[in-house]
Amino acid sequence: MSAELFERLQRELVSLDEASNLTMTAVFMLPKALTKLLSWIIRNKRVQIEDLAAYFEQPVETVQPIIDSLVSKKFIERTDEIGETYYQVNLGTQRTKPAPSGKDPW
Amino acid sequence: MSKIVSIHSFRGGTGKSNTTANTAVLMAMEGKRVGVIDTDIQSPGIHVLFGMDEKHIKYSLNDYLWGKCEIEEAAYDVTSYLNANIKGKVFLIPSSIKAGEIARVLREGYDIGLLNDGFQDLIDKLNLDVLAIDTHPGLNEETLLSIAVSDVLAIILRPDNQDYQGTGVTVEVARKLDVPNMVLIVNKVPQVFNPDAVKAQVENAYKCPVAAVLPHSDEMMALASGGIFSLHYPDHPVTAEYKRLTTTLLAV
Repeated sequence: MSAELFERLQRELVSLDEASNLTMTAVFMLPKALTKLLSWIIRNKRVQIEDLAAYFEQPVETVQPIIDSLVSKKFIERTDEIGETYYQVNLGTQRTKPAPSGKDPW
Repeated sequence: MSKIVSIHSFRGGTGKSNTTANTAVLMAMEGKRVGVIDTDIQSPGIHVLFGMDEKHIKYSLNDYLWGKCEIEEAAYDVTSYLNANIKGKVFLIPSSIKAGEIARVLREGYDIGLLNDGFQDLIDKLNLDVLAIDTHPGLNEETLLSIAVSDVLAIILRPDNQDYQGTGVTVEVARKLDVPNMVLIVNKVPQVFNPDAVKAQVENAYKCPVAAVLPHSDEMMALASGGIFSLHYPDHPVTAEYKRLTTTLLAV
């Protein structure tokens, strides 16, 4: 992603509400730069801050606040594993359709 | 380095499953370990090309998505079913062909994040070189995911005005999702058409490379999903195009 798209992402983030029930359709409907970023993370499954900095072609210290903002808005989630921090898209916390109530006929 | 190749079309009946199965087998003949996952949960069918039926399938993709098994338990080594000299391996992850289980997916859906995890787990646990995703036509949650995770997206269309419009939609979606590599495959081309002219016209319309122009084939129709075409007709022009497509998919 170019510096130009990074700037665009920063602008997009200002007006974004917190994500809830993030589906692929929701990812697709997001503003362009954020869709590109989330798709890239999904393709890589999970990434570290250095990967994100390389993707944005920006220093880690510039990228970190944006990533922290995306974590706080629940677009991506942070996991810590053996002293390493990973980021992945907060996808699939819900089923594609809500499960119905009542007896399962199947 | 493993890669995910999604075979997609906007409309049904374009030849996704045949193309997926044939390219997977041709990759395996070159020594690759290939997984084929049928994410067309609503209307599965690629298992038929590999000679599988319900009695062969203990666990399916549906069972994994409902937490009944690990994804690798729903993967079947179908290499030996092919009765051919294959240096690599082909694993098939079928979707359920039980009416009740298909209806359950339509009614309840499933956890889309689990499907994403399953793709990566298959690559890791089966040590795959290529994971080929046979998708549901059109756009829905799983096709958007399949497109998003692709290292290579192959979009199939026929020389048909409805396909042309739908392909435009899919190309637009893939570009928004920033898919790194995208190719088009024109299938079922009447033999009265000039394939070079078709290729040029399609490439110009979508600004995207055409990796294969597959002629309409009576032999393909007659085989009627009764096997892998390129194994039954190794010297056929359609097989030659499948081989060209396979080379392209492995190279990008």
